[in-house]
Amino acid sequence: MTDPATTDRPGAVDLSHVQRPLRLLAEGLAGRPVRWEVLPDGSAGWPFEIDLPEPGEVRLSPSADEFDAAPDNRTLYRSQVVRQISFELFGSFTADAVDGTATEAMRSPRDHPLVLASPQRSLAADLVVVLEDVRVGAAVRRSFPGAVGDLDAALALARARVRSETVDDLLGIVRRLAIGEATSAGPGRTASLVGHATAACAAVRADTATVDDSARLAVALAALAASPTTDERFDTDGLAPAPLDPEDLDVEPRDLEGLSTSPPPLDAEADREGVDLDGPVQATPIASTPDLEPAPPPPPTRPNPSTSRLAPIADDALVHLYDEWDCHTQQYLRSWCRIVERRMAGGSPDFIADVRRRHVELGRRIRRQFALLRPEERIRTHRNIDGDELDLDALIEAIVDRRSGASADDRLHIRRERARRDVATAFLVDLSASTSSPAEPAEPVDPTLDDDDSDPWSFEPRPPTEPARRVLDVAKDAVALMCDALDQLGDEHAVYGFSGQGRHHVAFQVAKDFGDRTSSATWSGLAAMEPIGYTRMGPAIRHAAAKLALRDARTKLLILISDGHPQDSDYGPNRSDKQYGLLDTARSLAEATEAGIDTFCVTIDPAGKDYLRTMCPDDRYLVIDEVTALPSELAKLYLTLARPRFLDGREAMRRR
Amino acid sequence: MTAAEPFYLPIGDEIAVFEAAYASRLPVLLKGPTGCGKTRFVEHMAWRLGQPLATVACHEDLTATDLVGRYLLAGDETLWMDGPLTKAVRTGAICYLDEVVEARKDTTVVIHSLTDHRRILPIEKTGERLEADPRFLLVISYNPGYQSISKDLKPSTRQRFVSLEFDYPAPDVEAQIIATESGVDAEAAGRLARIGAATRNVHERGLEEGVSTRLLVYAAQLMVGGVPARRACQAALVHAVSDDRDVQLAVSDIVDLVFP
Repeated sequence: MTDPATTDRPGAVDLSHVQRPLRLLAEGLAGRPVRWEVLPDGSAGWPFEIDLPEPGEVRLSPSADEFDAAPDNRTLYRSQVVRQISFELFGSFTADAVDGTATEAMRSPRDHPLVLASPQRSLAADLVVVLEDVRVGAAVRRSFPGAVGDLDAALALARARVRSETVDDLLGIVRRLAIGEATSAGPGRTASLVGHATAACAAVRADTATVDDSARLAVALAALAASPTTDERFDTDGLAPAPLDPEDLDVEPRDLEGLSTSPPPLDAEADREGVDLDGPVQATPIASTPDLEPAPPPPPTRPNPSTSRLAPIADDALVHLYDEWDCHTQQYLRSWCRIVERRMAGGSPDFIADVRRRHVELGRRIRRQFALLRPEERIRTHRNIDGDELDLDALIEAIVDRRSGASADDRLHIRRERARRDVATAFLVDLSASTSSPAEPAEPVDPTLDDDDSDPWSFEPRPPTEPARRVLDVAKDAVALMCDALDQLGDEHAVYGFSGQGRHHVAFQVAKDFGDRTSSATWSGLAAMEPIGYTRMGPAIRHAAAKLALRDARTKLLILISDGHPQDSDYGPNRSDKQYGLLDTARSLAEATEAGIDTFCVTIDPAGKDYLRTMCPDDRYLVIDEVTALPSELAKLYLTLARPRFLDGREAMRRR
Repeated sequence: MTAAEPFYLPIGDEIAVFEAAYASRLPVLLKGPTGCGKTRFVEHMAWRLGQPLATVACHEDLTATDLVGRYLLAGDETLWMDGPLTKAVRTGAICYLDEVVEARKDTTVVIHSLTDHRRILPIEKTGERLEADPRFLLVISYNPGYQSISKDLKPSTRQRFVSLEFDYPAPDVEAQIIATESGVDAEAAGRLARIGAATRNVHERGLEEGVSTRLLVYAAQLMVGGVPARRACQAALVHAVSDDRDVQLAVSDIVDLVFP
């Protein structure tokens, strides 16, 4: 389980560290993929603000720090996910048509036909959102009894923030009722509004209530607020509006005794003039800001690691120290570089589907070619306890032994075994900032295209284009396709990314380690890799080689994919010293070779030939001119490097 | 033959189709995810038809020899020992090869001649050409979900069988199965079925397979045995469905939401 990483405020949980399991939960409950939207910083979300997401959408704040303890804040996220998904589960987006013969899909209950037809449409739209929150909240409690305690804890926190506030407008009253906080009812009109709002909330809590009931009650409440008198009959139409229920609302009767004396703003419609009904719906805080606790100060900005000698590292990171070769003094600088190894997570869940879609034909071709690597021949192993046929030699010996009175060996069978592939490969991807450059040059403007042909007054939106693909995007595609194919082939493999931010912080990111099964976590980790920092190759190669050295494979491959020569802010005595980084990298590759690892460098830097000759032997590198050719070239390379590398029969027997 | 009726709740017309297939001695292929009731269905049908059942759980080291038989050393002589398939062919049992694509490819060779009009089993090592007993029927199963492309069933094999597709039952049916199998009360069974349905939705994103009906029954049995509901689900479901910690956390969240 991902440990909730804390931000600077104790107990705060960063969404990026907990979002994958939450997203899986949301999709499990919704039964379909959900859209994931991060609210602007400072938005607390439910229950501090009441808003409805669109169907299939979950909106969460970037961090949760409402509670003191991290597990409680993670649970708050969970409660928010469950509530938001539940709007769709419990029908907030499906209205019965006016004649009751059909249903109508809505993007929001605000678009309910009854609300749209209301003379107080704006207020009714706000009210229906809150009533839906109440209705669905009750449904969540009935359907997810395990969530009740979590919901109560969140509501208690929200109530603690608004308790001192005086609210006398209808929307404010209903919002407070939604979190189980009663509004102090003054004499006369406010008391009457509180009574009606309470009845409406109780009515929508009924298990038979639907979004249509919420809409009808919202329209009725809005009409009451607009009318000069609130004494008219308020019809909850068979939904058995419960009287004010202290248990239901967590309210003391004394709270209802007159407090507010200010005249309520009756003409809510007029008060809300200028509200753009068609514009984006903004969540509004339940309580006005002055009564809220003072907002926590914004978290301090983390210093740029490249400017910090010992940049802070994440709690879940592993740290390793490696030597570095100083070509000037011709000696190793002991424990010079700090590798900060982290598991990557949180990338787009659609990543692998997109890769497969983009490379349908290539993916198929790679898999077909790789399938040819599968060893088909079988090897016969003798003297097994069990097997396909009797081992005559063993059988004769056993009979002779038995007749001569000796104990006979009972391993009398021959087995035919499939030869195993025995290859372990580490893909090491350069994540330096330069990999953010476009993979393909921008298309030149065709001068033959005359703008005059188009209507100068046309404001037709241009068809959407896919965002420009970066070098790293292509590299990630290539590695993803390789993983797909190697899974089928059965070759062990790992996917790492690296970048340098000074010798104290060489980032080593793990999307898939040896021993991991390829899963959605692999794709999520690979998708999450982003360009940052420089290209400090030496320590990354040493670390990947150290991981490979632990594998029990006959052939070990380290494939480095980069877009430029090694460099870092302090890779050498001065930044213009390219030789230092080159020779350290060359040294690290040589160390790997000595340890029995086949290394290979693939670069998409056209100038690569100049320095790769220094870095590695001639047959150990490849310069690719077209970035987009990387996926197919990488596959070809693998076919060459890994073709003859499986156990022959004798070797397999020896090992067995 | 099984004495007591193995409990099986039909989801569609699978019983009628199987009976008709048996009447014409057409081999049957059951497709469906792990733990959705394929094996139980075959057990039920064998009981229903009054036929003995030989079940072979196939694995990647299972060879044709394991199915057909082999010579063993007994005293001073070698002795032929029928494998489970040969026994079923001789005695007229229903032979059920569970997860057949897991077995080595040479097994399909011995299957082929039993699945067409010939209904014979040639035994190479004894030189025998065994004609199947009239009551013999071959049933195989496989799970197209998790098996890799390289282990897919070849069309030449697949097209020799009448296919019955299985899936996890609808929540109300699954709840009934859980309650009957475990003795847990209807409310808890319903909640377990809801957990099952929700985890199967997670399937596309992170799980190789959703929680099976079998695992839900295990959880229910633990609950009947006195283990608290959440703990029973942790043991039977959360840790069983995936090694991916995030997926485990998501399934654990689903359990926590459904059981107080």
